[in-house]
Amino acid sequence: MALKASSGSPREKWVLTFIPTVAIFMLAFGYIAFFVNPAMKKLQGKYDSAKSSTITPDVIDQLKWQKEQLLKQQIEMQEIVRSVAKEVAAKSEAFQQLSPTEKHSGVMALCREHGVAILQDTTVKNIALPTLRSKSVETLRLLVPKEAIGFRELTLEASYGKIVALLKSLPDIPGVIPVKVQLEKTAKPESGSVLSVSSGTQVSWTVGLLM
Amino acid sequence: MLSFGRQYSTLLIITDSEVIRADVRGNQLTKLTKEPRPVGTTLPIAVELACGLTGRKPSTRTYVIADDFWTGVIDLDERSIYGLMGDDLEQMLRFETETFSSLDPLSSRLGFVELATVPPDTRRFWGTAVRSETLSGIAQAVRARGGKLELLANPIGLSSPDRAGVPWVEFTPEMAGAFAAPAESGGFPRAYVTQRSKTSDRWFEALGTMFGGELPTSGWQMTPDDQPPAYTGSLESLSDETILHRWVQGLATRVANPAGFPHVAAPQASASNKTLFFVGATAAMITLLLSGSLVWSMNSRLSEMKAAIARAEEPTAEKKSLDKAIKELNKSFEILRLEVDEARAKSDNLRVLVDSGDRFAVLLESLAQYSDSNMVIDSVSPKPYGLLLSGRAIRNNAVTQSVQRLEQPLAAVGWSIRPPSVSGTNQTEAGGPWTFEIYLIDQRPLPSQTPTPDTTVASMLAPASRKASQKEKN
Repeated sequence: MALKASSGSPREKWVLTFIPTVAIFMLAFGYIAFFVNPAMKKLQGKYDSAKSSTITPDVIDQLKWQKEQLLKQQIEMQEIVRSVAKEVAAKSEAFQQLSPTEKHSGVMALCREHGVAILQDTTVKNIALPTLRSKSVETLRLLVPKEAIGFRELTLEASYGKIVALLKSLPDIPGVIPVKVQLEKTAKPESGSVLSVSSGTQVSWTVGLLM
Repeated sequence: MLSFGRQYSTLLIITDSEVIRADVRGNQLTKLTKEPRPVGTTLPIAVELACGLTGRKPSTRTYVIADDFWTGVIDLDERSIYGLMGDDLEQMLRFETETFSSLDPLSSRLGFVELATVPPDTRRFWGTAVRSETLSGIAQAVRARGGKLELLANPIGLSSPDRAGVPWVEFTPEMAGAFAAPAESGGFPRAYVTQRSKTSDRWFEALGTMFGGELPTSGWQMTPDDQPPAYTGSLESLSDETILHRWVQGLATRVANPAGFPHVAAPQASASNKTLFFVGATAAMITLLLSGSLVWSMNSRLSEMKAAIARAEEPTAEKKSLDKAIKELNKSFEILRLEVDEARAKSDNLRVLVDSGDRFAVLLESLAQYSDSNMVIDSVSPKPYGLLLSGRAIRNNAVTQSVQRLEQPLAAVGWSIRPPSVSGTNQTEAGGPWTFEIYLIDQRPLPSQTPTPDTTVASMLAPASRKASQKEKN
């Protein structure tokens, strides 16, 4: 269909006059209808949702308090870890303070000091220990160099009292710990005293050392 | 022109020789001014000239009465226009009058009134036609002088010399007509208008016949020379000033109620481009302002809502942040707890080993101190669970009593004692002597308990204190 040319009629002139007005109105209407209104609806929903899920200040305070407590506990835990690590380091350090030779010399010296006769002194690869002690040794092995610790077994001959004194003194040597004591004796009953520890029986002591 | 009470109106009467302006207040003629019409002036120019005859602007009710355009009577067969009314009838009449008026039906305007029907089946119309261009020119001329055109009509037949409704005739140099008001209320008037001929009197005979009988005996004539010789009635000449005033008074009365005579209404005034621009710009500006303010207010509302949402979401965001921080702290706390457990386990394991380095000395000492004198230890053997103490006793309860006494000092260095196994050899009357076995189960050293009065036992609880106590004894 061909476009009709302008006739210049008054009606057409008035229509042309109001075209800008209508265009502005349509633009405003379009902007409001297709942009502002949907945005407003969306925001209204968001606003309602935000309003309905409002967190009270008490909840926030509670959470803050919880956070502070956790921070305090964390600091305490870190302190515990540090102190325990320090303690562990100090304890394991004692085993590296002296060389194996120095430790051995110390043990020999103590035996001499307490008048304990050494019948046998051998290095053993392992000593059968109860589970708890065995775990302790394993832990120690993890903390110190492999060559820093080992086991020795001493077969000793001495009176009960001397052995007690020796066993008491051995931990004074840094890195030496008695882990096994074995007593065997042959009973020789004497007149007047049927059973007595110090009645001249032959007593054999085996002492295992972690050193 | 301002009007208070009665309406002002202006009549502009244009004839071949004169232009007349008549100012009327209500139905009363207040002023009449006239001038000769310059030769060759067109109707719009003559109208503008008439407007300018006085120093005053023409009224907003200005009537132009001129004989420059066609007027006449047409008879149509009733069947040919059956059912036509209003614009359709006008359009039909425009085409029917084209032959007489020589005006293009598409570019002319027609005003008409229906006259009394001619028996048996002829409908008669009295029409006035003018070129649209001429009409616009007249309206523009009046508007240019500050007035407003109300209607355009031919002067013939407009003014009756008698107010009682008596029929009358009119003769001008060019035209002749006979007129009669409706016989009854709501009826059609009777009229006939015809062109005069200077060569024949047949037009006069036709006038009488077409009017429907005898011609009225009174009427107007433009000049004393206009009366046809055959007419025997008395005519008043408009060349007489008094008669002209009466005629104009009659026109004023008639046009104030424009019915019963053909006239062309003024065209709808079209606004000027300036006006259109002003109106369009104003409307656009107002719409822009209103729309702008509406959009602005809605955008403000949007911004307010966004701000309100942000405010409402603040605690939620803070809670989320705190929840996240607490979750992370819990996680790191858990890791730290594991680290602490691991470190403590290591530490405890080392303590078991290092802090109880003198446990065998404590064991032997305790055995020496707390064992009953009626029992003897024969062997101390390492076992997977700890130690096995074997020996003999000459009293049945000596072992049990010793075990009770040993329990506390040995627990402090990591042994728990199980009830002893005792069996008699049946060598005495009581069943003894007895052999026994005491089981020492390896465990973690128990923490210090309420110290017994025995300082020796107390000294055995901790290696350091034990040593200090020993030194004191020595």
